[in-house]
Amino acid sequence: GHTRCPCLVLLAPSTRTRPRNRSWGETMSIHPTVVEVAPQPQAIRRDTFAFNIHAEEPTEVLLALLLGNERFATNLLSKRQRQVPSYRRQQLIPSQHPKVAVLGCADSRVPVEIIFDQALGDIFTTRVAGNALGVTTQGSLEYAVLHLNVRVVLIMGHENCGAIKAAMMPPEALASEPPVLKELIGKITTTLSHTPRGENMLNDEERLKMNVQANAKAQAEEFRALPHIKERIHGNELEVVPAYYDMGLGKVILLEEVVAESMTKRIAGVPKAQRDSLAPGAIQQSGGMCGCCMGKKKLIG
Amino acid sequence: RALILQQAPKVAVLGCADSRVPIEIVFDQGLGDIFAIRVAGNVHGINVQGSLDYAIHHLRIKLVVVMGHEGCGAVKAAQLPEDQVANEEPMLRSLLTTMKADLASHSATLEAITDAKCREREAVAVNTQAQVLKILREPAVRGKVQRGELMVVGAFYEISA
Repeated sequence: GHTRCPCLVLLAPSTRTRPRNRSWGETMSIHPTVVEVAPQPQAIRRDTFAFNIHAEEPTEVLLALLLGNERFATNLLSKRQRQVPSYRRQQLIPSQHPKVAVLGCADSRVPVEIIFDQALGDIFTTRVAGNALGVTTQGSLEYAVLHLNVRVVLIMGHENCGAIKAAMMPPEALASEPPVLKELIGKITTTLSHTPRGENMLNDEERLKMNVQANAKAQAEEFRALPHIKERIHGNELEVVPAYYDMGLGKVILLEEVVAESMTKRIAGVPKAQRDSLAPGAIQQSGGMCGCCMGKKKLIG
Repeated sequence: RALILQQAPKVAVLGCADSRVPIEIVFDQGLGDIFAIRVAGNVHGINVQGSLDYAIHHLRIKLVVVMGHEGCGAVKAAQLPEDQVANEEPMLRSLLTTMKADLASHSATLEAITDAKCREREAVAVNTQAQVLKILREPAVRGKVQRGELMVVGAFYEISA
């Protein structure tokens, strides 16, 4: 039968029989036409699991997110996200207990759970074009904070966001758009009108990046200012942070300097654990790989 | 990096923000495959329709899937008594009130179901179908569907299965 590389490229059928009961960390059968170009130690970094995505402390949840993103950006994704045994699904049926809510963009290139390398039950994910705050998105975030007791709300814009690009255009350019889309874009334009323009100073790409970030920051401000949210932040039960996803690097950057700095310090303080190729939940990366995923092996035929 | 310049998904999914239903994982898809709109209760609204407009008219997606799921907390909350819903913060209250109204049109059917779990599932299905109908009513969508350029369907995600 067919197997999939952990990066999800379908590999041609293997001639080896597959083990009947797959358990965590078990080797996938080696594809006969994969040629090993440069064998490398391929372990998941245990130190990136130093913080718990289900912690009660907001800072710890944020750190877990950032380290998960680091796994994604360095292409060392953990297996727990993609291979979900049925017992795990059954555990989740009665209720969900995520400790973080993300407001992101509906853009197909920014699948939230994947870029943070998290799994079922970890992140309450709200996504609409332009990661805009409106009735449904704000209502969803309120549900997450007030009913699910999440500790972190991350509002995330991303590189080359079409919605922000549209919001930067003059109104005439949007004249022929469907009315509801015009309304959505209009609200973002209004938000951006209160932020610096920088038209004469930056090239188009830089200006778009600036506006994406300004939009995310403004939304975080707006959400934070809500009385029931402010209350929780003051009680140290909640952190609301704007962020920016850089597609080229695959990295999520926190847009709050003070928070970003303290995160970097804490991550640096985590002892580099011994690389352990049989860490629980790690992908066994010695076989069944395609050329794109580690860049170390070539698929022929 | 190949995706930076633009995205070309062929399907949009309107799903729930629920942490147990990460759309790309549930459909075993990766970066660039699905335009994923997620709000509590996968409920229709301005941001949702605006996002769909973008996906339909700019990204030219061919299929919209509206997906409800087993054990949806928002659908459950929408079925709570009026006075409880009224106590919520304005935006959340508005979201739940919309869902309440959508469910009200099927109240006879729902009340006739004696088994709680079945009633819950039916409520999710009713909610999902209601959102599908709202999308189909949008002029920007209707024409495309009639010409066979776009399909809008409802779906139910069963967590246990």
